[in-house]
Amino acid sequence: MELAKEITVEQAQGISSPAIRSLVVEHISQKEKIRNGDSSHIIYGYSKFTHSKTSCTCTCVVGGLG
Amino acid sequence: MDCAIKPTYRCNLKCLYCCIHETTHAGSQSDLSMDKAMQIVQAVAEKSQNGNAQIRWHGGEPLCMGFEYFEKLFEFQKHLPVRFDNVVFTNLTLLDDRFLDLFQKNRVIIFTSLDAIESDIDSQRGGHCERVLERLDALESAGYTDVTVKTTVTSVNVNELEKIYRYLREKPFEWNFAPVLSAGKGRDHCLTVLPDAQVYSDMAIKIFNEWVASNKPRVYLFRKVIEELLSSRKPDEVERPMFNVDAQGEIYKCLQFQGDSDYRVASFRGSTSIDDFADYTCEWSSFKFEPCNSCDFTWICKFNHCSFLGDCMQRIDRDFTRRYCDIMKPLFHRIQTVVHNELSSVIR
Repeated sequence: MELAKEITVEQAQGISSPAIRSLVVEHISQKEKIRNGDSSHIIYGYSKFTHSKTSCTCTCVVGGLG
Repeated sequence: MDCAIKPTYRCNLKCLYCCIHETTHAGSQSDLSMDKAMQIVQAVAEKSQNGNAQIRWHGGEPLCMGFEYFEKLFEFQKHLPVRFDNVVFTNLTLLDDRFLDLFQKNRVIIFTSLDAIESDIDSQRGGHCERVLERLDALESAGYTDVTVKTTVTSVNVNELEKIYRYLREKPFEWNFAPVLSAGKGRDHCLTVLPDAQVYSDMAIKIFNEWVASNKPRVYLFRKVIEELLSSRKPDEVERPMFNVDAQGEIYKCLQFQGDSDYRVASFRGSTSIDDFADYTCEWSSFKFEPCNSCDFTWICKFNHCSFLGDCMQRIDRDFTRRYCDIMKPLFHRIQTVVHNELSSVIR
């Protein structure tokens, strides 16, 4: 989403939805770390902030197998 | 390196939509021996280049292998120069307090299923939800938070989705939900119990609207869609390699169709380097992010992008992907609209 490229942490604090605000702030934080050359928080492109490096059986969002 | 291991095809439940095909797996009832499991774990460690590896214990019900099986394997991992993340896909019904303690000490990530809060609605899974709920309470009491609860949505339980959401909203676990996928023994059954697109999307959007305001619980589906909307990933980016081994040590290039002879590509031999399996990693793992033809999203449903899965699904039912797309699209569009509006409101 192009808009996300322009947003700052300060602006993100103004997002009314706590769920979206949290994800946007996290997203900006991760991009900043990558920009600064810190990849220690990244495992193969997945964030350590979110424990679910694995999504589900079939590793995709909509996987329906249990 | 990621590896999915099915140590057994046995399961104490008989879910109607299970991906394990009883016909395909007939004669495949022997379990993965401890020796071979250790060889696979060691091979994964040797292949892992950055000191990290993830093993997904799947099945069947992996806990059918017994407490000592996992106790020994976790202990074995500690002697290898790699940090293992173990993920166990379990229905929880066999998770006694000893297992719980073992998993907690070894920081095991648990994936489980909950399709209903009331047993009479849980008919797709045999009505065992009370036991699952009791075990979820036990996990919460033990301070266990690395748990993702998956709800498979069908026409039977689609109206219960809100109840499940409200239950899990008070729990420290992550939730994911999605319509049933057509695969395995449940292929034909799944097609008959796909939820109605309008009913599903109305329910999913209602839940999303509540979640957006509360941020409880963690919902994988919502988070992943939003992360993808925010992401600037390039189309050619790929995910980490993974390969899949079943109870007989056979290797399949798709976890979803593991055990199906049509998808078997090799056999694991203890003396064989995993380098030899490089060509056999799951095609999802080399999935390329390409624009979808029918939606604005780049990869969310994957049916138009993962050629392997797409082929499988089309082979099963050419109409299935279109129906699935109709089910998912309204929710995706709702999420996209809300995120766009939220971002627009703060950068003006």
